[in-house]
Amino acid sequence: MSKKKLENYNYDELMTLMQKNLGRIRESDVPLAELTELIAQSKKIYELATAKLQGLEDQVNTIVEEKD
Amino acid sequence: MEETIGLYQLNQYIQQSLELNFSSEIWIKCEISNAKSSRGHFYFDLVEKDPQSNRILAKSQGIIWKTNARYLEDHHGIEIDHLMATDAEMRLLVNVDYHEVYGLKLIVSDLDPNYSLGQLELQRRETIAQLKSEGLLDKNVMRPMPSVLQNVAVISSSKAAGFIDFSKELNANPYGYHFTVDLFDGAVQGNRAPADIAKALKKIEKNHSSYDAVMVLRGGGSKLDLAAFDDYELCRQLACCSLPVITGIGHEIDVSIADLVAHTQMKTPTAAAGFLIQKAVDYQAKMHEMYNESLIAAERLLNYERLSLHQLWSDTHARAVQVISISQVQLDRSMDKIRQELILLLQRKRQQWDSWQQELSLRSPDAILNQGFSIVEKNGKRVRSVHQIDEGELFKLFLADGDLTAKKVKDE
Repeated sequence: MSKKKLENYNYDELMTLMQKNLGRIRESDVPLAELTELIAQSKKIYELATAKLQGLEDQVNTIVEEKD
Repeated sequence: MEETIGLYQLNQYIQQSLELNFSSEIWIKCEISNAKSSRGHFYFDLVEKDPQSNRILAKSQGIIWKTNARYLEDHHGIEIDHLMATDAEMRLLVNVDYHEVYGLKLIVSDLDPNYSLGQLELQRRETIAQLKSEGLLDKNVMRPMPSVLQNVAVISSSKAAGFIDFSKELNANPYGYHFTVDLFDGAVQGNRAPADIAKALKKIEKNHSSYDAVMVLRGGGSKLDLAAFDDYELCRQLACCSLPVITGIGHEIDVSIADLVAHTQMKTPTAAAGFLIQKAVDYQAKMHEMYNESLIAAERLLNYERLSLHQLWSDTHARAVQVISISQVQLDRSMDKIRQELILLLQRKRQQWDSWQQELSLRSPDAILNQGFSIVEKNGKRVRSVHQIDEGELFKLFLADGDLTAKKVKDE
């Protein structure tokens, strides 16, 4: 696991990450701990994307854990 | 000495000759260059070039007087300064004027805008064919377009209504989206426009990583006003731009060649602003949809787990109930059996007890006495032998219905 700042992602990369999370969540064998983590990250991605669109990304805590 | 005349006289001869040969106005075709206006009058060069080599074959000075300019603008619905700024070939009605001091001038009294438009259309078709043959019509559309266009380089004129409309539309977006617009100010009409736009494109290319797209904006105008966007060199540069190009040029009916080579063509600058806003709206909606789908999928997964857990609990509970029930039955049976065994045991014991009691009662002293036996005691001690009592000695006899004192007479 490494720390990576979501704010360095562009819009398309954020969408790709969101799609990746959704794909994993749709799988039936996701452990509950991972599911919780994925949902939390997806929420953060959505909030960041919305804030970026409004030029308010500095107000969002964007540090998330992401798999290498 | 040969006959010598003054310059004035010579010029007068020239003037007379010209008047004799050009007594009436004449239609000519030519291009206009170096146009200038002063106090409402227009001064320019009229040029004819060799179509193959582009070499100038002929050149004369032309003038449109202020009063005539107004008439032409009203009559043809055009703006003379815009017309002067196009490189299109024109058909002009001129009066050949020669002045002894100022020389030859062609005074324009009328023009044929349809001829210019025809020439422009011809040139336009040639340009499209050339761009097509070079594979440039589809070049820019191959550039990847980011999902959101938030940082845009705009090529327009800061004073043009089109750019003002664009900015107004963008800033008034009801979603509070933030856009960064870098304006590259320059001419967007006339023969200066292609060079200005090309210059802007070069600047943008140097800093292309800062932008998501290039926008070329210009409000509505006549076909001649928009002719700059049909320029081959300009369109070639737009097609080759490393960023996706979005055009918002003119009104809805106008399609320039710049529109054709662009990645995306919007009808007007306002529509171009709407395009940026809509892309942001679409992006946010898509993200929202995916986030919601994530929540729904997670909820579904949790429900499934909850159901499985409940099912497991139900199964376990049912099994436990079954096991308990079976054990209960077994226990009840065992209890019944024990109870019955106990009853039987008790019954047997009772019978035994009764038997013992009966036997005991039969063997009791009273029963024996009732049978006619008696108990002998002397001095409170049981007498078991006749030798224990001496003759004449008193002793006690216990019978069934009472006791008595007796005296030994003799042994038998």
